[in-house]
Amino acid sequence: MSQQEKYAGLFAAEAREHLAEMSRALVALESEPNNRDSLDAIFRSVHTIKGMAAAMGYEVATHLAHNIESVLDELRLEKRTVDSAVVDILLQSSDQLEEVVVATVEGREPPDPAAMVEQLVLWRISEGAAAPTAPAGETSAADKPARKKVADSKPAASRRPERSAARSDSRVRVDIRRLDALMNLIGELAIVRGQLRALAAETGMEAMQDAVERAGGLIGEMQVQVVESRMVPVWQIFDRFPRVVRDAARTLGKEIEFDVAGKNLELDRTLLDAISDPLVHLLRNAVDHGIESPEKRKQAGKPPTGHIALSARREKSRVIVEVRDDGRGIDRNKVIAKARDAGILERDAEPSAQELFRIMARPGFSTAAKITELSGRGVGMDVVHNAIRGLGGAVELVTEIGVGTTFRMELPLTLAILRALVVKVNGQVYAVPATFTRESFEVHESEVQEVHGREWVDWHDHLLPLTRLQKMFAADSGNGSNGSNGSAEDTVHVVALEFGGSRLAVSVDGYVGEEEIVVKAFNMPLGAVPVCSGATVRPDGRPALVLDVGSL
Amino acid sequence: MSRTVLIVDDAIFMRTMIADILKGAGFEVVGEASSGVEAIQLYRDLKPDLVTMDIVMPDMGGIDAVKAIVGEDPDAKILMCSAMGQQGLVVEAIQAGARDFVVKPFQPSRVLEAVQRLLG
Repeated sequence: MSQQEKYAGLFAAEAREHLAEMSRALVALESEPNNRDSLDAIFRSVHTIKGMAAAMGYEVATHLAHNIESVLDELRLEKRTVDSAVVDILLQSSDQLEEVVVATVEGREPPDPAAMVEQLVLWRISEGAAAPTAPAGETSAADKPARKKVADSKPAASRRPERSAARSDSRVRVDIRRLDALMNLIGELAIVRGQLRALAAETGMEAMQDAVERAGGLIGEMQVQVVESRMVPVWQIFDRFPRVVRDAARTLGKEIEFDVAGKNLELDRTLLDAISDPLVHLLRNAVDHGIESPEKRKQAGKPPTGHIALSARREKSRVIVEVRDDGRGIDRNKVIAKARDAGILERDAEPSAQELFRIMARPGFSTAAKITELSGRGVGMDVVHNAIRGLGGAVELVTEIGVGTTFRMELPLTLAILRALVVKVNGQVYAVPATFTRESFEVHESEVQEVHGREWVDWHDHLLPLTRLQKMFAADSGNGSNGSNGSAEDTVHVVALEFGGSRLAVSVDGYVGEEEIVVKAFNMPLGAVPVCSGATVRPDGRPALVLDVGSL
Repeated sequence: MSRTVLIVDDAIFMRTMIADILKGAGFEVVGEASSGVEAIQLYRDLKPDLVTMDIVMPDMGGIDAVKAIVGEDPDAKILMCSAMGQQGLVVEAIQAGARDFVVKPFQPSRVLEAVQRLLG
């Protein structure tokens, strides 16, 4: 890597952090125009971007940042006061700065910021430094303490402690592709370990077997280290969202308060990037279709300001991300009726929270009276559903008319490795993510009950609907087998699964065991194998498909 | 023995760039700080021959840090690294005890010239 490439990479990563921080602080400034900390934070971010861009020789970005900084300077020196007009200009110019920075980093021609710069300059010369308009007599008196305050103002006391703490120990920035490459190598190593283990066992030499075991342990530790180094705090993307909600709310004339919780939770970088767009969609959707207009809210006896909350938390080996609004809710019965009319849902079936989301996420399915430009419901939900499924996660929808809607996403902690129960079906090997498995057990064929044309098995006094994977995969591969192949005897091997609040069971031919699998690729062509979300390579070097529990 | 340097800047990007320039000329970068508060502590611990100091940083800016460091060690050699458009602050920093300044974007030759002059 050349010196220039190294700097460009550092610039890209750090500029992005500063842009996110700027966006967060701008929204904070808008709701609290006198908040000195927000103003200082915006100034520092723009200033740092300017300095870095100048050092890189990125002239367009430097020029724009410089002009934004000049406007901020007038505000910092209290020559002018913060009002919504200037916040608007700052928000627009920070958007443009982001476009310019991104384009420059990607080697594209950046957009010409001339018009934006002109606006910034115009703001500075309009009404001029006359701003904090006090009667002439009071001006000098009012002016002096104000200036003094600026001179005395102490730098914000560790506004973002986690960052300064992070800086004081030594860190390096690493391209995520390097970690991916490392992870892949560890995956290959794990395969070799499997082969070595088999060979060592053949030799019967105990010392050799011990050495192979030790090497295996070390590979495992290495894997843990790499996985942990891929984790980043979610604020790296969550900090952009207040702005998303604010902009959508303004466009649609809604009044909305937005809360974010769990910003310091750490997630796999790739996973975090992958949920960014779905989250933006869910948030816009909440603003557009969830929260009612202030008038409608008043009529319904609610406070005029709607509330949207985004939260992230860890539950065992899963991460739960929720978007909750206190809006009008979705008419469950309307959705169910429409689904029945469309033949998606059986006449008497009652969908679970998860099925409800799956129905709503079907392409073209919409109950919204009109589809707005901002978020045509249906089309976008489909994208959310596929994205989260592709990550080995689940989405469910809990809604109550007049009270609000919650979208709950369940995600693995990392994409790099997956703990999975490996099972055999029709001679093929499949991996079931352990996130969803509850128990594997065996029952006699006679214990499988048939009710309403479905098969059920008893599991700790619960009846679970049973899906015969043998039948499902046989049907998919088109060889029309009726599922009676596989285990010829009368024992049914069952795996109990829990997924997004609903429980179900699948039958398999046998269990291979629980394994940590390295996920090699999750970008399967959609619909290639309907119930699989990805592929993995097992320690013996043979591929296995990852079962998509959510689609069962 | 090579001369030791402490680099103070809130941007990793800038610290890397300055460090590369100085290391290339045979200096030893003994520490990096990302705020004024850290700079003061590291100066005490490391007693470097030279400090490069950014002006705008969170948790205490460069000028206050210069005041504090020079207050403890009047012989401290501090080179201000400012972005353009901060002439007023540079003057303030020099008054506070900084010895010289360079303006971002840096030209390596200009940085080395200033450093060599400072270290005599």
